[in-house]
Amino acid sequence: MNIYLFSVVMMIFIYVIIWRNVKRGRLGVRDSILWITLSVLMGVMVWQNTWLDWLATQLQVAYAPSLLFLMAVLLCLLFIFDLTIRLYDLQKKHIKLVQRVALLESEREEGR
Amino acid sequence: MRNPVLVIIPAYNEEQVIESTLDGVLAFRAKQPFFDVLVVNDGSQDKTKQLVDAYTPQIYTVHLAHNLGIGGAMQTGYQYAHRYDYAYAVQLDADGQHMIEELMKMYRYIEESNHDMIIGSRFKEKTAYKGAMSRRIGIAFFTYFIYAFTGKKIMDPTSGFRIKNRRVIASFADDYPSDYPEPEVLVTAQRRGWDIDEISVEMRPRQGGMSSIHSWKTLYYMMKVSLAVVKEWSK
Repeated sequence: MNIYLFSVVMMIFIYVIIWRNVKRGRLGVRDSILWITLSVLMGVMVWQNTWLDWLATQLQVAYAPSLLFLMAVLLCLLFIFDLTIRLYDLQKKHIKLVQRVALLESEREEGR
Repeated sequence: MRNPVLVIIPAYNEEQVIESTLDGVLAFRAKQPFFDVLVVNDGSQDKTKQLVDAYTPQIYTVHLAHNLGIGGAMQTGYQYAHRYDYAYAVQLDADGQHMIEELMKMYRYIEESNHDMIIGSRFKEKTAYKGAMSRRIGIAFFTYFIYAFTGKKIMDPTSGFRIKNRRVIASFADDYPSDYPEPEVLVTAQRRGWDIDEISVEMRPRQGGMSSIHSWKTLYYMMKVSLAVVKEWSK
């Protein structure tokens, strides 16, 4: 098995995992689109390595796979940043929820 | 019938000192009955909840299901104060540092002066307070750091012993910093045009338990507060 075939097998494996998690309701549609798009892009870049070579030449990158690696890292960083923002939003909502529950319980206790 | 002032005592794992603090507060209230007491149990994992519940109905209690930190706990207190339309709310630390006997002085001052917030300050005038040198250096840093952004010099920017009026209570009930809020709030006050002042008060060293600002957390505290001040100023 060469590296390209291996990469295609891995891409198909990832699509199956994503689809199974979407079906089970463990992955939201927005995130599943993101992962699938990412996987397709990576798969295309691996399969059509001439495109990667062309892009590397345009960007004056001597070793084309490094460009692929850089793109993957940048996309991961963007994704992590997005998760950080969503996590902070959830944190704020969680605080408000805990406060509301505690105040309601206190009101109920005082009413007794 | 509720009193005009609500004393909010946030408590997280304070089983060592909460009883002595509440005994002192209630003894003072027996002589000067102008305030109610609310303890916000911030998800304590020790006996704080049971110890605090033993004081009801002399005090009001709110028990948070999870630890939210000092900001979240105090905001809960402000939401309570806002809900029951208290004229003033004051934070009193559960660790015994804040002296309840100083509250009358702060209450009278805010009533007569019509300020929005009065800060009980250890450093506006010379007091008996003797904190660790590192802490005093940190406080001095924030005094001048906040002065650089607001033009107002508050000698004790980290003091949590503050009395606020309805306007400030309503604002804090809606939005309040999550951790180490005291310095950041001074910039908020300046941005919103609140009228704040300091009054000299006596404070004690912590009577028991453990400070949340210790070891490496001191560095995080400095960084977090500095960034929060800049963020608040730039709004």
